[in-house]
Amino acid sequence: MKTKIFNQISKACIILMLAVFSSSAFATTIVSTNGTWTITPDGRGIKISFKADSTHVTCAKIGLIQTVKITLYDAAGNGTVVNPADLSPHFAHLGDDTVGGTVVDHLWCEKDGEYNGDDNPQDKPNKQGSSGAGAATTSSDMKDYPYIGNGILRKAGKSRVVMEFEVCAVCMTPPVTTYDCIKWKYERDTTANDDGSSSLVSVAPAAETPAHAAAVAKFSTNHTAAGVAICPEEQALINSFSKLYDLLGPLWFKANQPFEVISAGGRVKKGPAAPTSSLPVAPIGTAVAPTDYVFVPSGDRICLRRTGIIPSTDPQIPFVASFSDLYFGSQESVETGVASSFQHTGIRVKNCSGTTLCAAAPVSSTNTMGHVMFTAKINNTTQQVTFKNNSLSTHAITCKDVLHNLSVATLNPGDSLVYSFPGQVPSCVSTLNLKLFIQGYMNGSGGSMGPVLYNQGQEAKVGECDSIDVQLRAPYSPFQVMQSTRAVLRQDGTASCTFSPTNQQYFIAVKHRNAVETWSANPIQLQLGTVLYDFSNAASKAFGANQIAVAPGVWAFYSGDISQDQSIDLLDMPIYEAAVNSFTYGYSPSDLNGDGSVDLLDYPLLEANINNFIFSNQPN
Amino acid sequence: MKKLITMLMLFGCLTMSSFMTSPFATIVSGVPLDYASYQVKITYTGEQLKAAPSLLLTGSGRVANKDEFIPYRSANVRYSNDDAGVFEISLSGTTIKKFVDALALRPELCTSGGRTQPVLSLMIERNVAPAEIVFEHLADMVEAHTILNLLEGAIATEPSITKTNVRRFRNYTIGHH
Repeated sequence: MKTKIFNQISKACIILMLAVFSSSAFATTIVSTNGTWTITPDGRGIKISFKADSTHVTCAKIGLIQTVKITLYDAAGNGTVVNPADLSPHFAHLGDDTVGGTVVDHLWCEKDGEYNGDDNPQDKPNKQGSSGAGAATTSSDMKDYPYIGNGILRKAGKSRVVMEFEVCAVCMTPPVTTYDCIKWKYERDTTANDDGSSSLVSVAPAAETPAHAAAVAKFSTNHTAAGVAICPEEQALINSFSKLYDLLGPLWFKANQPFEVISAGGRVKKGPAAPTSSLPVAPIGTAVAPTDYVFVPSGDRICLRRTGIIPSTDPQIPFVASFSDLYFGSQESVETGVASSFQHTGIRVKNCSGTTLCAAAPVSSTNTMGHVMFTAKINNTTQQVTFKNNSLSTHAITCKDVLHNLSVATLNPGDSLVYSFPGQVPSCVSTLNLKLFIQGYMNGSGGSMGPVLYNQGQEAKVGECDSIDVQLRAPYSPFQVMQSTRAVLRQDGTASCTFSPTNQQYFIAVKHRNAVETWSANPIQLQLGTVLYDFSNAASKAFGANQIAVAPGVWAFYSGDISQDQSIDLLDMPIYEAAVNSFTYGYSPSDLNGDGSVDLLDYPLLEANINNFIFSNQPN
Repeated sequence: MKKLITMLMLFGCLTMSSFMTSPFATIVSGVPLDYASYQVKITYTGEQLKAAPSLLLTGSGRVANKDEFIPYRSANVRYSNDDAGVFEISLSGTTIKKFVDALALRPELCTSGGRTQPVLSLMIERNVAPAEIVFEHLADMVEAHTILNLLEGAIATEPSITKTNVRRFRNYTIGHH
């Protein structure tokens, strides 16, 4: 329980209520009920000392808590109190601790609010004092050299800055007690030499102000968790120990620290609760035991970041993340080492059959936080892989072509290397073979569709029906389009869709120019190689069972969404009617039966589906 | 009297000359063992509210003494944080050599003097007989990050606590920007 003792600072005891300083002023002494303050201008700063009166004060650790309020003035003399965090990135850590413009003056990652507290080195060499109860009476000392440069003032359109400081002596040991306070003021304007020179304007004794008390309370709230003093900035560090990765192809990873993966869709998957040196390496989307990590991305980019508090005692604890297995045929690149805590632990470049073509050896290195340390990129056209070393360490790279010719190279800091495998890397794709029918295009037998493109006067090969657009949608909200392709739909309902290599689960969404958009009932696992999905053998193969039976055991997508608004309704009718009235023939979405002309033969199908309120069924 | 004044002025010039910082090349030593007697001081000189202790990296073959840099201070630069205190770290000569070698590859950091409104002062003292030589570069924010990058690279093989302390200095001066 914090108590305040403003022991009615005895006016009689105050030798000097207000002193006006200049840089050449001598020390000023202020005697108050609980001790004696000594304030000494020190070059461009100030030295403040408080020596408690041992007849009044018993405390083993006496600290000094300083708050500051910054006011900027324009040329007309109008003042504005500002949050320090708004002035400079250097003060960013003060932003959340500021109350009404007043904040406890502290450096990054301090756990206590005392200027001369226990944070090391932030509070050093300022000295704590003691008093009474057999302890030697020693002074509490601090030095300060505040400075706001002309650059900041001019940027803010201001001409003068006034920093009002309030320093209170406190007993740091329970029960925390606030003793006497003083105020001092620093100011400078843009006419001063921008070398840090400033004016120490005044100093005066005071009882603790509400603003000081509020700032101290705010600091205490922000810097305490579960009763333990913390550095809140460490929490922010977690986010800096993270990195976005493109995820267009297979990606394997392991880590030696607890981690979490955030997909573009915002879905979070957490790693193990405790650090472990060896985690299982599993392909994305693979089912794993509950004790293992699991990761199913829902976006085309992922963010891997460390979880948990990074201890201030060792913020260098590495987060070793291993990213590997680039496959030719994808558009993928891999970047590693965004911070000194990230380490490049090896990249392998493989061909489609899984043979390693190049391997960059693991390296511990450093670079600027936020900068990419090491990259490997593939050019599928030239069948080249480029390694770039942005780190400060040498990387060893080994490549081997199909003839087993071995190339070993040393990649020095700042260097790039290109390896070519002309004609040696087979195309590597993920293929999705679909089977589906379009209701209006069905032949009478129910096992095939008509040659719609041919009927509509389009150039088409034998057996081709029409074209469809196939999307791979993320399996989680908001179900982004991860990849898409246009494929030929054959009369037998088959369509072969080629995608960049992937090893993930997706909803399959099929769009056709006059059929209602239809999604797979569930996410489908795609992989290197070929996967088959047959919509036509059960209504339930479509999301919401949104298909119509066109023959025994044969199901088709509903026809009639001419307006492509994902619903078959009265908005489709005017388009159809206009086409009929103009005797449209040829390639037209209003030709629902695909016979080459828009006429009354298309009407029954459209009318039935409008009456049945057919619309696209998709996961929400 | 006139002669005396002339002599005093000459003495002053010589004295000032000996206290001026030197070009980077003069602090590079061909003898690896020399680096154990080097000192490196990094001072935050930007805007601040609370004083931020400076970083004093001292070769393992000598005793730390920040005051040896005082005569070489540049005019109109705030070294107040040196007066607030220094954060001392002892390094092997090999590590200091790595840092100096890394700096040598960055010409923009090898100029004596530098920015007019610096956020960081980098001073390197070569204290090898017969002369004490000090180099200083005054860095802007970008250069300051580069300097600390190079330093972190140089100390990569030092104990964890050393790396932690350098990172801390970075965090409470420029690193968390």
